[in-house]
This record gives sequence, structure tokens and C-alpha cells, in this order.
Amino acid sequence: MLGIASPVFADEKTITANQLFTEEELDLFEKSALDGAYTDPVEPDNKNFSRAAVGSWSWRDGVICITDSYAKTPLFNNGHAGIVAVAPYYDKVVEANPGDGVQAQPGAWSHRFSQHTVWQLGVKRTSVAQDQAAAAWATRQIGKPYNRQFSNINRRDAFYCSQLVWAAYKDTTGVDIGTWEYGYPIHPFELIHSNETQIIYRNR
Amino acid sequence: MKTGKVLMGMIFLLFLSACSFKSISKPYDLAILDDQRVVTFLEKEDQLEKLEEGKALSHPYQLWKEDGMRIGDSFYNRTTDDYQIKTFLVKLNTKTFDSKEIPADGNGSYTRATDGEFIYSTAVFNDRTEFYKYDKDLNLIQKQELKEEGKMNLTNDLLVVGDDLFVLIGSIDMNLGSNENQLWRLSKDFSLKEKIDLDYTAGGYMRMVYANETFYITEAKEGVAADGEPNGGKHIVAFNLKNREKILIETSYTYPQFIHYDKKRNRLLVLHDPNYVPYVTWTFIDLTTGKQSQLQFEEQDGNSVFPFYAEQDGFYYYLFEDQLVKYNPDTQEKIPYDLAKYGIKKAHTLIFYKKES
Repeated sequence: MLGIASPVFADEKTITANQLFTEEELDLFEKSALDGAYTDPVEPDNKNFSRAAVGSWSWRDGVICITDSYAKTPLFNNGHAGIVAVAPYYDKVVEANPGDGVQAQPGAWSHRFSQHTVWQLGVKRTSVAQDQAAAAWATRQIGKPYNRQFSNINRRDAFYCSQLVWAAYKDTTGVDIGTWEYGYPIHPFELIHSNETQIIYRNR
Repeated sequence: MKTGKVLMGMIFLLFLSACSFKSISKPYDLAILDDQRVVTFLEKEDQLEKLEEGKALSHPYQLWKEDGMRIGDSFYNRTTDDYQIKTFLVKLNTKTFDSKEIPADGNGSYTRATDGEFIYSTAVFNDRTEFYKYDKDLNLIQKQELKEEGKMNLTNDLLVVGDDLFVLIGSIDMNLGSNENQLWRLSKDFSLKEKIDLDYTAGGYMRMVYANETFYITEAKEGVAADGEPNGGKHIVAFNLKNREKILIETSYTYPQFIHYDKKRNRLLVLHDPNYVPYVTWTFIDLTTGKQSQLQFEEQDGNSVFPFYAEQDGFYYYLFEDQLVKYNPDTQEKIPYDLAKYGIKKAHTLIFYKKES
């Protein structure tokens, strides 16, 4: 929709966003991508009754984590996504990173990315058991390499961050949390805007 | 004309240097890191008096709020993630706040400890656990991989006890998805000496301290609730290293997560996970009498980010993002210091000039 789909996601070693777009265009894209994300209300998680307060960080299996950390380049806000790992991977988020592939990383993102805005999303239509299945599926991908072919979201031998989160729900529950507003690749920010998700936590 | 331009340039450079942060030069009582800057204070009759301000970190990250280590005049810790999702190990000179920042080996530093000579750090991968040993200048001295077929061994905490390293492990069978909590004993060159099964599979042991020949371990999580959230454990596990006895100390609140030891009072300080227990609730456990008491910060309700904790001269210090609370554990008096009036909004680390003896 924004017309800057796959080239922006290309490997920064071969091409960069700033070689394709002006700073004004990138700024406009970032504003569009995160429109409302900083101000939309945080909603009560309808599956949850354990947390200290509505809107606090959740370690519930399968909760989606997003940050506006730039992830790869200070010039363009790629964002980053992960999914709360299934128990007994306590206090871990499963995520795909360019350096390490799919790994389980410790610590709440509210602390790990304290310099940035962090969101947690629940999937509206799924049950707790389905969320756990999605988390278990993502956790089973630990050890797989990073997928640099950002348009190839159907491969399951390698993942990039938001592809992993999207595929976990698509393959286990059939719910497509992508919006397709960035074309074929799955962007972390589109998960915030998806009609299938709700913001259940934001750190600022 | 040319002279005039050179002069203009010099004035511009002078202006720039005047705007940039200086190094810290004066002795202080306590220093607070606020994002990348440091602000030093004198503490006089329960009032803070600002001394100096400088730069402490060179990149946009903060220091981790746990496992800060002091060796002489140096303070060590890992950072939060930078924009490239990388973490760094940092050495700070506590007199000047000059820093050395190096990329953490592995996929980030899971946990850290020091014996006063070396810094030990761990990283966890699906097929191996990595251990790193650094000298005081953060030069990597040794790296060791430990592999166990089909197991992912999560290093939840690391302690130096005598000549050994003890690692609190959540050992997950990747095929079955089952979990064992273990204590690994390693030499300081990472030879595995012993694996101690802590005989608990229902949940996760997350942090530990060592006192009186005993490991005190937080039973942070226990199973999963109907809503998918992890259930809270409700014990501190006392594991005696000598006789291998395991005793459970029940806590009034669930989700005991972080733990510290006050040697002077022979007391455990347990922080219950603020994401699940409101008011940033601490339980104090007197190990001499067994008596428990609580400290809560009602004014911090809704702030799920846990505070940085430090002990100095018998007082407990709790550093929140824009407030420092000094607590007298003998009188239960709380002395709040408003940091916002010094422009501090993202405090993450508290360092004392004088090293706690």
C-alpha cells in the first residue's frame, strides 16, 4: 500500500533504504506505519486476570512483543517483533535476530528496550490454548537461521522476526495477523494495526 | 578576512566544547545514571545536593538493573539492547565515569558474576551454553562451550562461591518440553564438576544468593494458570551445599523473583515480580528468627519496571526512574529523593563513590 515493500526490507549489505528514498519519504512512512500506535488505548486483555494491573507487562504464552527499536539501521525504523516463549521457557521471548537466528532471549522488553516504545499484543479471536500452541510452535523453531529474503514468508527453514510471529499464529490457529499493507513481507508495525490484534501493554 | 574566519571557527569549537559533557572530577556520595548521562550528588542530612553532570555511556542504551559488579574503582554490567538488538559489556570508572564498552560475546549476556579478579558471563543457544571469562579491562581470557544433546540449558543466575562457579540452570528437554531445575558447579576455567538436581520440575527457579553455606533460591514461577499467565511460586528454596538438605520457606506473596542478602542483619530481601504483585512488594526474611515483613511502594503502583537496588552503610536504596528512596531497615523510615527536579527521568543505575565494605 505504501509502495515501499520489499526493497526496504532488503539486506542492508546490498541496498539501504536511504539509497531508495529521501529522508522525507522515510519520515512519512514511519509516521504512517506507527500512526496511532503511540496513542491508541491499551485495552484489557480479555484472557487475563493474573497481572498486577491492566496494562502491565505479561509473560502469558504467545503474547506478541513489538518495539520501535530500529533493529538494523539508525536511518530506518525496521522495528522488531517476538513472541513470549511457552512455559517452561520462563521469562523468555522467542525472536529471530540477524546475528543469531531464532533464539530465546531473557528479560522483559520493557527493560531490554527501555530506550524505546514497547507494545504487547493479544490476538482477539484465539483461545488461551491456541496462544500456547502458537508459543510452542515458535519455541520449536529455536536454532533455525535468520531469513534475509523478506518477501519469502512461506519458508519454514529460516525466519525473520515478524515472519516468525505471524507464522506461529497462521500455522497453528489459521489466524492471519498480517495486514498486507506493506505488500508481501510482514512488518512488525503492521501487527499493531491488524484487526486481529489488540494492544494489551505499552511501556510509555 | 581569513583570520576572522579562523577566529569564528575557534569560537564555534569553544562553544561546542562548552556544550558537551565534561568528565566527572569531584568526589561525590552517590551517582545516578540517567540514560547515558551521570549526575553526581552529595547526600547531606537526608537531602541531595547536585554536584556535577557528565556523560557515562557512549551509545543510546542503559545499564541492566541486575548484576552490577564493583571491583575497586570500577563498576561493570551489561547494557540493555541498542538499536541493532546488540548488548554490550561496560566498565565504568567510578571516579571519572570514563567508560569502556565492548560487544557482549554470544547472543547477549544472560547472567554475570565476579570474583574480584575476573568477570564471568554466559550465553544460551539451542545446542550449547557458552561461558566467558574477562579480565578487569574486559579482555576475553577464556571461552568454553558446554553441550548436552537435546537439552537447552538456560542460565538463570550465576554466583562465585569460593573457588567455584555455581550456575542456576533451567534445563529444558527440547523434545519433551519438560524442565529440570539444576545447580551446576564449575571450576573457574569452566570444567563442569557437578550437576545438582534441585528436584523441582513444576516451575522455574530464577535467582539465588549464597549465605551460611546455603543457596537461597527464588521459586518464581510454578506452572501455568487457566488464563495462560505463569502461576507464581510461593517459596524461597534453602539448599544447604554441605548436607544437601532442601528446605522451603513459604512467602506471604507469590512470584518471588529477585533476591539479595543483607549480611549485617542476616536477612533476605525478596522482590516479588512487579508484573504480577502490585506496589513493588518486597519481603524481608530474617534468617535468624524466621520472621517475615514487607516493604511496599504504593506510589509506584502501575509501574511494572522494577527498581535498581543497592545497599550502603546499612541503608537500602531503591532507584526508580525519577525517584530514589532511601530506606532505614531498623526504623522502617522511607526518605524519598525527588530526582525529577534535577531533570532525571530515566534513572537506571546507582553507584556510590565509596565501595561498600
